Amino acid sequence: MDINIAAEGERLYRSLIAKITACNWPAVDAMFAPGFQSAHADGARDRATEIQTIMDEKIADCILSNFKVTQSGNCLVVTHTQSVVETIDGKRLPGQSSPRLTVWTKNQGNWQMVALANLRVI
Amino acid sequence: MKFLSTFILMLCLSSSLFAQPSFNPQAEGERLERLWWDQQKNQDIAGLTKIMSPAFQSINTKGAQDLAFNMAIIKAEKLGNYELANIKVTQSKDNLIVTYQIKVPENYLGKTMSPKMHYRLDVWNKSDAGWQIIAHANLNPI
Repeated sequence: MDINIAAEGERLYRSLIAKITACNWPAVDAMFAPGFQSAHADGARDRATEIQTIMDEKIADCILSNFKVTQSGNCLVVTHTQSVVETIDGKRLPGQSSPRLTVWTKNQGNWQMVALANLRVI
Repeated sequence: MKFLSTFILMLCLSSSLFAQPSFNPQAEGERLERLWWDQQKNQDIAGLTKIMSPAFQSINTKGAQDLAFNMAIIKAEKLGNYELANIKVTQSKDNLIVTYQIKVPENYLGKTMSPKMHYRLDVWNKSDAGWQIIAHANLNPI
């Protein structure tokens, strides 16, 4: 792969968040690979459960930072920090931040996410 | 007729000799996890160097860490006996995604971690170097 992996990894996650906030569920679904699994403080989820949870949560605006991307063959490993935006006295402020990890692989020319870890403490 | 039956017999023998055992992702994922945790417990740096990808990244509640940082932690903090449970392995092309629970006495930068069962997620990628772990998430709060 002859790509800027740092830019590509960040673009992929930002694209996922944009599709989620736009409630573009078919596009969100297409970004999850068969075999996807996630891990959260309260347990592991399969592909269908994770997508349903995202659809039910109605994620608000969030601030994404500290992206770090590495590459292994056809995979990108992406870590970053995520905080949900809170509006206090009319000011948009970052809420509690927590780390995230996602792993992406190319499937028939399209990037798909195979794993996600959400380190937000519940 | 005799030639034909001999030919069929040879064909059957050759196909059984060269038949590949079907790949079992669950068994392979469990094998890889136990190998990796044994290597960590035994501080088998040579083994870990082979099984951990240069692209390896991990996260815990404090943030992300690269391969060099993780190797330093493994060398510095001796693990106790571990117990794995609820191992679930899925496959996506050349990747195995493994979620599981673990109970392990461990320290992180001098802090004793909770010894309770908690979740982990690992991703393994197969390349010319064989199976290598490329990502690890530790859901045990620090």
